[in-house]
Amino acid sequence: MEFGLARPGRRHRRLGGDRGVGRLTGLMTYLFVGLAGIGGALLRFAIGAAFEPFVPPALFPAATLFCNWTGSFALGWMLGGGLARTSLSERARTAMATGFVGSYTTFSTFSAETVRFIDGGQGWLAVVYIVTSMWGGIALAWAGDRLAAARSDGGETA
Amino acid sequence: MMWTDVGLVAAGGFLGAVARYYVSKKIGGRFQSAVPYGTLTVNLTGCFALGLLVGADWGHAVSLLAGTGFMGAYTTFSTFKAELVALARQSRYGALIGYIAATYSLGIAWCYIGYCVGRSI
Repeated sequence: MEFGLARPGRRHRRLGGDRGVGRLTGLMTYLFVGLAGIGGALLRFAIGAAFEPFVPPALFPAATLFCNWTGSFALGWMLGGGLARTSLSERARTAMATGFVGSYTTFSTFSAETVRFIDGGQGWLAVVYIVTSMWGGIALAWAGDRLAAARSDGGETA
Repeated sequence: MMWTDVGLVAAGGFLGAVARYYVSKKIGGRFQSAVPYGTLTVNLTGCFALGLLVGADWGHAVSLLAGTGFMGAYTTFSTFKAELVALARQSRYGALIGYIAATYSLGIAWCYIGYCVGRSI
């Protein structure tokens, strides 16, 4: 789980006797997460701009749904064992999962779009949006997880 | 698309991701529970704040920096879904149902409350 991944600083802190060094490596992880977060936020912003001419956000928030679906699949794969097989350092893995994919997907925008449907008297669209987002996201995260697990069982060297 | 827009989203994205990492570590480490309270805290507070921002409508720049950038990055959908998959794999179905119900119902409710507060100020 992410909480397992999200503690790269601890080991260094315990091994290195100097508290200052531990604090520095902890801060470096924050920097990596932040920089990866820029990438995720900008990709989401670009996808929103790319979708706009085709599906106006006021009609249906297809761009947010796309980001949330693809991000759920990607994170399912990463945490299901996909990241563990890469040669990335623990800090880089946290940056990819927590920083990049975490920022690429969003729950607050989803909620605000749902509220806009409800407030605009389009309750049925709100229901469609919630159901597709909820079940699609779970199904895709599960599919990513299974894909990573299938690859791990396939005899590849870890 | 203007370059200032890109810069605003990037700055918000950096701070939002760092804030989520910090909050989910602090809150998540405090509870020894199957339910990931760190992500829940981040998503519920972010929903209220974004509702407030949308309701108050402080203009294009604020919307990009604080809305699309910060709140977009601060809250997360993928971690929520991955945590649900992990709960399903551990057969913790009670926690799973509770976590889904709490995130969606409280998230949308807090967002609506934030929106109403934002509109009235």
